Amino acid sequence: MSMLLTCSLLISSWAQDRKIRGRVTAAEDGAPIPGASVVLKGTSRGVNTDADGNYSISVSDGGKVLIFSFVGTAAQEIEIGNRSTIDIQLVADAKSLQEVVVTAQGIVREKKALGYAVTTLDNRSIEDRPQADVGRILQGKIPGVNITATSGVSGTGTNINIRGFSSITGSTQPLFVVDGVPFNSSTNSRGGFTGGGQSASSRFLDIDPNNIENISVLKGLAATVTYGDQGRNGVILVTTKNGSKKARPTEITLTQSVFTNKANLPSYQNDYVGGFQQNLGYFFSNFGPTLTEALAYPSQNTNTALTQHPYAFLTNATLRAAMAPYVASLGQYQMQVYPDNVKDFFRTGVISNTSLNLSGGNERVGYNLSVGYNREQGYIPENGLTRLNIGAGIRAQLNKKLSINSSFNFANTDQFTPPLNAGTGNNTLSGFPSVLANVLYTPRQVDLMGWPFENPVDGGTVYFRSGNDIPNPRWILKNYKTTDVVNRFFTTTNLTYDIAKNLVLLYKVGLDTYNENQEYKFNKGGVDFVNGFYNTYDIKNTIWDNSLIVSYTRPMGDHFTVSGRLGGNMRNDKTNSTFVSSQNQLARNLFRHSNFIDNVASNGEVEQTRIGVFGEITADVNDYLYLNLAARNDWTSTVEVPNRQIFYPSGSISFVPTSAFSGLQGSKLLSFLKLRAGIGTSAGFPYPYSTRNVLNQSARGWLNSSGTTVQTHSVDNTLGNPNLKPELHTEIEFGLEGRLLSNRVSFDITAYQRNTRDLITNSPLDASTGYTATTINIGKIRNEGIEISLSGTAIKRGDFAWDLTGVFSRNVPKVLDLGGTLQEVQIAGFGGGLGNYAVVGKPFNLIKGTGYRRNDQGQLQIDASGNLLTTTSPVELGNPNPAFTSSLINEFKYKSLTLSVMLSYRHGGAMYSSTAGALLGRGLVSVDNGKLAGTDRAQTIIVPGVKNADGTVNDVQVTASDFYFNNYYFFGDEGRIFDGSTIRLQEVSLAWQLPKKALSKLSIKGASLSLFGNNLWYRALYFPKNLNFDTDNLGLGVGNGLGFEFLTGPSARRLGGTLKITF
Amino acid sequence: MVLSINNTYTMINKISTLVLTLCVVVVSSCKLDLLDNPNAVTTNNTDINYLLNSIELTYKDHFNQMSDPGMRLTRMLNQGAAIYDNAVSPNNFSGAWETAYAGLMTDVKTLLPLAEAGELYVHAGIARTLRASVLINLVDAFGDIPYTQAIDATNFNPGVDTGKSIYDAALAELDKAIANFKATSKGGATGDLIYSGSTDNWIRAANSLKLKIYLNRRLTDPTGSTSGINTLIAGNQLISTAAQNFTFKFGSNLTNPDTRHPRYAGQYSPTGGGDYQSNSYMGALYSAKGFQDPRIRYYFYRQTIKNPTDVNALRCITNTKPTHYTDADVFCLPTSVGYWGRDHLNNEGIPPDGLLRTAWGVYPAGGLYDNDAGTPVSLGAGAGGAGIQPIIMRSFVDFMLAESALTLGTTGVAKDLLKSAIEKSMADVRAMALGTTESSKISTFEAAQNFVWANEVTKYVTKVLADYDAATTTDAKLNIIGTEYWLALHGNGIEGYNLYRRTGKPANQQPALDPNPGAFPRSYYYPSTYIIRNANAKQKASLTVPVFWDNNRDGLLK
Repeated sequence: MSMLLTCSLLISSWAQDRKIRGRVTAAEDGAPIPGASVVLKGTSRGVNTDADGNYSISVSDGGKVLIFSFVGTAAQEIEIGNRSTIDIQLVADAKSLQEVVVTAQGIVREKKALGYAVTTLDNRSIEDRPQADVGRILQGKIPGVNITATSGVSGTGTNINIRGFSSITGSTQPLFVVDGVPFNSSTNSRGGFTGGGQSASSRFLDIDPNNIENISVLKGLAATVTYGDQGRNGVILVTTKNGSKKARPTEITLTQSVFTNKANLPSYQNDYVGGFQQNLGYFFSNFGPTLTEALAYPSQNTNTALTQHPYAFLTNATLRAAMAPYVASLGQYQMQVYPDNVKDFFRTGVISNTSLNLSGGNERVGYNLSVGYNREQGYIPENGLTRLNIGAGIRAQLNKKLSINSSFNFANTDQFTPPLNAGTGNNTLSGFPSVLANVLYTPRQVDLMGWPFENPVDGGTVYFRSGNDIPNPRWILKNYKTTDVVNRFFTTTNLTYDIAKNLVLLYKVGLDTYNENQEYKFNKGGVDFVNGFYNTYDIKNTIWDNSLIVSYTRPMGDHFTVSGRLGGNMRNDKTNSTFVSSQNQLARNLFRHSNFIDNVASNGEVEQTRIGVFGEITADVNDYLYLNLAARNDWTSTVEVPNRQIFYPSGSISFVPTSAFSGLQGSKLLSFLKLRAGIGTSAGFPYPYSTRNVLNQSARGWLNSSGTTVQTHSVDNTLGNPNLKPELHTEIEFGLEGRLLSNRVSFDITAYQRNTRDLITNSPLDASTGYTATTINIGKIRNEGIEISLSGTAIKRGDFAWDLTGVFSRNVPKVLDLGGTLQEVQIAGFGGGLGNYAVVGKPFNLIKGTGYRRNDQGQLQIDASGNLLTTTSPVELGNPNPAFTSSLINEFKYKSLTLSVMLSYRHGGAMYSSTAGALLGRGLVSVDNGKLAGTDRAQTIIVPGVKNADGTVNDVQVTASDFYFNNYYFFGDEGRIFDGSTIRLQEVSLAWQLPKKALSKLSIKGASLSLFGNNLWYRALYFPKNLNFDTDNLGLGVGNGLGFEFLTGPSARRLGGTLKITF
Repeated sequence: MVLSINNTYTMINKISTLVLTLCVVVVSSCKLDLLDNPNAVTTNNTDINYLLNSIELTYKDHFNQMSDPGMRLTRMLNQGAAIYDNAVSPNNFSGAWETAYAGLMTDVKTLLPLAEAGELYVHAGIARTLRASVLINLVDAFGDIPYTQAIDATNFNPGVDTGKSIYDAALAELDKAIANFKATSKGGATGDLIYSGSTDNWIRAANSLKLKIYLNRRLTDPTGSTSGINTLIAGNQLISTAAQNFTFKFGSNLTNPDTRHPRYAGQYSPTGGGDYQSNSYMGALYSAKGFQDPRIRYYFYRQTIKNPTDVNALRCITNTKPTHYTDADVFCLPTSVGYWGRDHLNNEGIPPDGLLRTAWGVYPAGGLYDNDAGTPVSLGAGAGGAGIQPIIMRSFVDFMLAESALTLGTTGVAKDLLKSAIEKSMADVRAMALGTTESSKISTFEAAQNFVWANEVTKYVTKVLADYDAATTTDAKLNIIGTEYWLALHGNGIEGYNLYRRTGKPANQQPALDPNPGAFPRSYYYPSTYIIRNANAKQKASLTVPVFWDNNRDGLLK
């Protein structure tokens, strides 16, 4: 809490008349409060309490009153009188006027002095959660921050967007700053969403949420300007317990949590079985007859699918022969329904989390040690995560002028999963396997968990379709692995030196380095990579960050204080990677490159440096008007020399009428009101090496007729742009904060508009230029939004209290210009087809894809067979940006019991769902789920529309399988688009603080027991209910795409409990 | 104790200096000069041979991309859309556009100055020949396209040139290439993957491309075409021997690199799948002459030699033949012996028939020879993908000359040229197959069946020539030449599509399943990426817009 440190630096060498001593304790439990501020009123003289809550202050003759204050307590003014000892108890006050927050560069400031929005969460909202990923813990809790999980599979990535999208093709992920220095939070995925990228983790997974002291989220540019270009997407400031400067009592805290982890699965109809056109068979689809019909109708009861195991129909004679003994062993086969075939494929994973925290010290020296071990089983077998975090932090006042604060953190994160890749309901895409590509639409008569999945002769996969062209998911579990092991070392050191009175020098150095080793280990015998595949991807990422900041604070009399900061920052990022792919395996189950015939290797290095000089001046007039001016000048290594430098300023103002106007003071209705306004700018730099042209090279481009390798050089399709410049972002924001009804209700409202122009965009070029893309400064995006948080106490009666917090965010990202004549840029998706687009004049990330052909009157056009026709080119299908997101946190307290219930609601936002398409289109779930609910698939259906040939009303009947499969859900993309509005019971917790009296006999300082549930219930309002579909999914992976789901894993429901004991 | 503003100012200045000095100390250990990509080569250290390799390898991709829609439209392969408008949709061509321009033409532009500075004229000639071929293919596919303003990093919106002017430019480019091949070069292109650097063969390829240009232009410029073709015939430098065939040869290496024929690679796997063959093409080869075309076992491989009876495997077996199909049109199953493809413009979903549907055979894809084995395809089966792309075969030259002799009266007798064309086609198909690992299988099967190749060819040629003699009109004769050319073109949809638009032959192609599939495409839609990204691009009103050399009447094609 550097503000407090700063305060203590204000102690001057005034004439010392006498000393007042005392002890500051907490009113609620009598525990000492270290670090509380004791200030002699009317002077700048002040001290902080030591680790035992003791203080000693010199008081001059004139001094009459001492002000005692501490974060989260109500300040008290005490008349000194003749006393020489003053002990005081401070009363907790969550709505304290003295609320302080951590702002840019770790500066702690009073919240009322800020001219921009900052949201702070303390450890209570972060720790003991069943999520290992801090990103997912923050979901819904911070207005203006939109967080989406890639999928519910353990260890997969998380997308975070603060105030929308500031770039079309560049990164829109926020900067993580841990203990004051940047922390790499990349998602290092190999291949895109159709190349297995779905299993990649986001590297903030290496942070142990239980070791977090607090998180501050800086959203606007006025708040983040001193972080330079890296802060343009917002900054998530994480203070770990090891990095905290807070003095702590000497204690040991042991926390043990256990949670269960279950997949949210659809409810299947079990009337109709697999087949197509009401004809029994072993297909992808489940459009067969009911079993009763199959037995009754002559055309069906002679169908061999009814009486013979599908393994008897395998086309491949060798495989059929290999499976013959199994088929024979079954005796008379009788087809039946396996209602739980999908459910039984998934499991209930167990998550356990153990943390140990040791802290201690006194006012001069303090330490903290932490160990965390997290073990998580995914809901898919063979998926899980283990993470070990070891950390240490020390702080020391080395002498009167110099203090040091260092933290060291080691993380070992080990994630493993079967491969995940996008699928749309026909196996996986682009020939990369995915364990979940075919599971959710398993036909009802397929005994996924009972039938053998392995060819007993050669160990290859075997499954129900006669061509054996679906890899058996259980075979994938056994034979395919994706692993990701990270060893990360992260350390920060802050040196604070008091140069002179009011002048402090701070030097911060941070090193964040990790080695990540990713592997794909695929045995031979599958459907994709038939002969086996092994890939290793080794990444070494290092960030060195150095900052030097000089701070000057100066009270100019009683009513005016000025402080200034001037700093320099140098950051160097270096990534080395080695990528080796091998194919054609020799021995099964051995994954070494030497066990494969063909190896391809490549390695590379990407390095960039940024240097910035920044300054900040804050002025405080009479405690009701605050002014903040900041600016930064950067030099980057990623553009050519003439464009290297960029300057960008920001300013903000905060005004507190309730302090300024005496008429408003002491009002019961309006306890506090603050108006604020900020204008901020930021820069953005391109990815390294975007300014110069290169050639692609292949050492093994071809083999000539005699088998000799042929090498190739070809001009890279991306045109280097020597004129590339840094981009500039501008944002204005206005805010209103206040508290009503004697602090019982508080609100915080922010409205902002952010414009980015000269966007650095990976802009597509017409190939006839000779290139397909270049990096260029084009375009303009505007994000406009509003963020509201409201909290209050609904009921407070005796020991019972009900507190409510509401969070509301709305962001509208709009593409204003794409530079001259370009009208659209595809952001993500299938090249030139289904995907997210930036289209001039439209919301960013617009979903376009194949629609249904309509005539000029908008009527659907139907072909001669009675089926819909598709459009030639992609058409606009929906806007994936939610109209708003909101959440409501209810906290009920009764004595030592606390029940917290968090609901969230997302309104709108189109979603393309492969799960919906595959399950509806393949007849696993009917819109109202099956025969019992009244769907009779024996009836024909007429697709509403007009005949393409002559424009007359369509009267051609089609079958149920035609209707669902050949029309709505598989031909064209339009049928798979749904409104994504979702209501969710996001978190429920029940915590019980064990009575201290009982514990003190066991020499335990405190203990608590809590039950916790995450994502316990949800409903996507516009999806058929039985799909049980969760919109919290990112089929395109972490990046700028939005609103797609590609069968890469349903969401998870997690439930468990935590025991915490403090010694 | 209040400092004056001035003092404060001085102090801030001092601090600034201090901070900056410290920054400089820290920073000097770290450089900002990180602009060169440390992971790639540049034009300064490239090798012209590597560039040429890349150009030739890109050309094979170009051929595959441009040949694919042509085969599907002309019923040499199944077309998987329900209506023509979706068959040639703008999205289908972005890849081909990219390969041609950003792939091949950029590399050619990079190579030419290096070749000329180094006096490596063979390299220059090959690059020019291939660029000319790509330009013609693009004009034939799309019509007017960017050329003079293209491949220029300073112009992001190149405008189009007329197809006609690009044809002229291509002719000039081919003449320049021929001059390059005749010039004294400081070194040959020994690594050339197409002709191993043989300048004679390259000159013949360039001349044969000129023949194709003149023939395509015969409708709009009969005089120019006649004289141009007669000059080429007189020059006697067209592709005429098997060794001169303009082909790209594939290998059988599975990975790193995958050198297999792309059609093979897409089909020969443990799960099969891949392209559906065209029912009408298979039907024509199987029974149009009253006996099997000798090439049929080379062209197609049947994974089953029995027709399916299970509606789950082939849905159309329970459907009745559409009323707009004539008796002569095949429907659903073209034969009774397992040839299993799809009818024209069939966009059904895919049943589990990946190991049942008829596959590409040994010619040209390097697959299996059909010896009635009736077993599924598998990885590496047959010739392992060591096939060819038949870009310009000597038989194609003779077919073109036959058409030209018949329609323009150029030198030579149409019937003789037709005969030699068929004989060359037969010989090249068989020779290619016998040159693969399938060779022994072929001789064993033929011996067992008492099948004498030469007799079969003679029987076939005799039948065709008898039909030719029986044909009373030029149009009927042209239909025979066109049909035989079509049958010989297996694996080359570029010339198939040109042939169909130029002559309307073969006449009476199998109709689309839908009686109203829309008008037949006279050219393709421009790629969507071109339309979206290039301000000077304008999508054509419909796909009935013909290319410049096609002045045929509307409704000729179906």
